[in-house]
Amino acid sequence: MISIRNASYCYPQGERPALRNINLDIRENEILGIIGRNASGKSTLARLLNGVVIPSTGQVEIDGLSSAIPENRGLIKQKVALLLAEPDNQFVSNLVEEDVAFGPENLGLAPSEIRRRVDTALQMVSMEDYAKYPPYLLSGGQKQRVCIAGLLAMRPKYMVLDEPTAMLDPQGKKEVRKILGELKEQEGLSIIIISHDLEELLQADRLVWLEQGQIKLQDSSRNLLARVDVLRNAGLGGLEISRLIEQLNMAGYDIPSDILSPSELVEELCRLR
Amino acid sequence: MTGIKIGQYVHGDSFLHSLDPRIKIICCIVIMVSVLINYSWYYLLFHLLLIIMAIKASGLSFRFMSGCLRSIRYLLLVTFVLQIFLTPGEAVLSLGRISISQEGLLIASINLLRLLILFFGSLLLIMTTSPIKLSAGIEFLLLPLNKLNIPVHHFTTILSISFRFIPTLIEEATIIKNAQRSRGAQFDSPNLIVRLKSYMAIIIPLFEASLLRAEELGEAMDSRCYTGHPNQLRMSSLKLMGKDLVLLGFMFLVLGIGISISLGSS
Ligand SMILES: Nc1ncnc2c1ncn2[C@@H]1O[C@H](COP(=O)(O)OP(=O)(O)OP(=O)(O)O)[C@@H](O)[C@H]1O
Ligand SMILES: [Mg+2]
Repeated sequence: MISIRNASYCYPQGERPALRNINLDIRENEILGIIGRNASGKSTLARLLNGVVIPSTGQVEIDGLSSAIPENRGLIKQKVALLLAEPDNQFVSNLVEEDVAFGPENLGLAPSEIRRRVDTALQMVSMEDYAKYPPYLLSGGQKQRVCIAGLLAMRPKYMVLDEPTAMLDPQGKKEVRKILGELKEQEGLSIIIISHDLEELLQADRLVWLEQGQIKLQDSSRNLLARVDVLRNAGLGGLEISRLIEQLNMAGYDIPSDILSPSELVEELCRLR
Repeated sequence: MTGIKIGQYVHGDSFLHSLDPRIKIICCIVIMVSVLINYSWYYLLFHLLLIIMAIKASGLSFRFMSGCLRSIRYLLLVTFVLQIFLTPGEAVLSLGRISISQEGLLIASINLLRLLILFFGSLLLIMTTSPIKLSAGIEFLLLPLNKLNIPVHHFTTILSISFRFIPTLIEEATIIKNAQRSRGAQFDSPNLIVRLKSYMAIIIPLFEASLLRAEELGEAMDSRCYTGHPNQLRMSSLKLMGKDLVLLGFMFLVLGIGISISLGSS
């Protein structure tokens, strides 16, 4: 479990604190979505989780390891993997498998173990056929999947994804989304995803809404995604389906606004007749 | 695989790929040295033959390799032309005050041959050695410098990451160039100043973008537990094999012959 207690953080050159008094628990095997407008502190929170950013006040503990203690940070980084938006800035090698090996090599593992981890990690993201390719010949979605493999090869427990599909086309977004679900179900990972993409956030169990460095609201994603007002304030458009329900209700129908899937809506509409 | 870029590692399982990176680096240096200390035609042609055999043994196509010459065509042309005209000697052809000398023609051809050998030699090295292996090899060879407190590992990491970013930067430069062109930058204006200004409009944003990339890359490497300490345990550890030693012996033999030829002739 990751627990954040009363954590605040101000960048050395920053005027206002980027995070203020954050309290948050991240449980095992859940998908937590983080939403919020630009500059609300989402990326800073992500870096707080893997020990790149250390809170100025308050505490962050990862499985009981406090990130304030320098000796813990190596282990924390291995437990909490961080994926950035731009895949091109995360590659260290011009060969897919060498790139995936970078993390395990840094952990000082034996060559045979590194080999094993690289192969399984590439299989998990269905990129094993591209092991000998240079990344620049891959599509955006494939690149991001290789980056995910690079993190999986370190066998993390938590994976923090900072807008993982922001740079990808619809096809790439779909590929990455599919893998996230699999990682939770099959590998038992906890996933923390920062996103402006509602489709992606639908996969989350819980959502946290950040506003000016503070947690404004946290709730199950079912409840939050149905609230068009919240989503608008968080800079998100609202799901197509929620907008449809909103319009139907304006026209005098009475449809519960927490419906998120088309099939549920159809059922509800049939009941109205 | 299509879309291979010049100077980028191409994966394969050829003889050249299977050699130890340290041996390849040493052989490359030996070739450079022996080509630079020697004027003998036979000796240079022999090296050209070696290079052709190496290309054959690398699995890279001759068409691709000769296509790579395009990137250094101006360098070749300028050195050749300058040496033809600027070397004093017996004139074969005179055009007013300037003349082409016999010596010039000879030296220019020899130097052209040398450049070709150097170019293809190093190209073969970097295109058949994966970046991590290449830097592992360089790191091993520079190990003695560690005793002088020179951080060899940092140096080789920087080197391999620079290689890694070449295709990314080329792509980015193309995007910026197109963006600036659509805003009216003239890259093919007859006016040199206008052209220079247009290119500045690529270089500055490219530089800025590279700094941002570097910052993010640093963060990503940090998140992947990179500490800056050299890790001797890599996925594919370096291992010397019989063929490596045979090749090394052969190259030094060639070098020895080259040295004795150049000593004998001077
Ligand atoms: N390196 C830095 N130095 C100083 N201030 C920073 C730095 N990085 C971020 N900030 C500031 O901290 C605040 C939070 O930034 P952060 O990047 O966490 O926001 P974000 O929610 O991720 O935004 P976005 O949606 O644009 O990615 C912003 O006001 C930003 O200006
Ligand atoms: Mg951000």
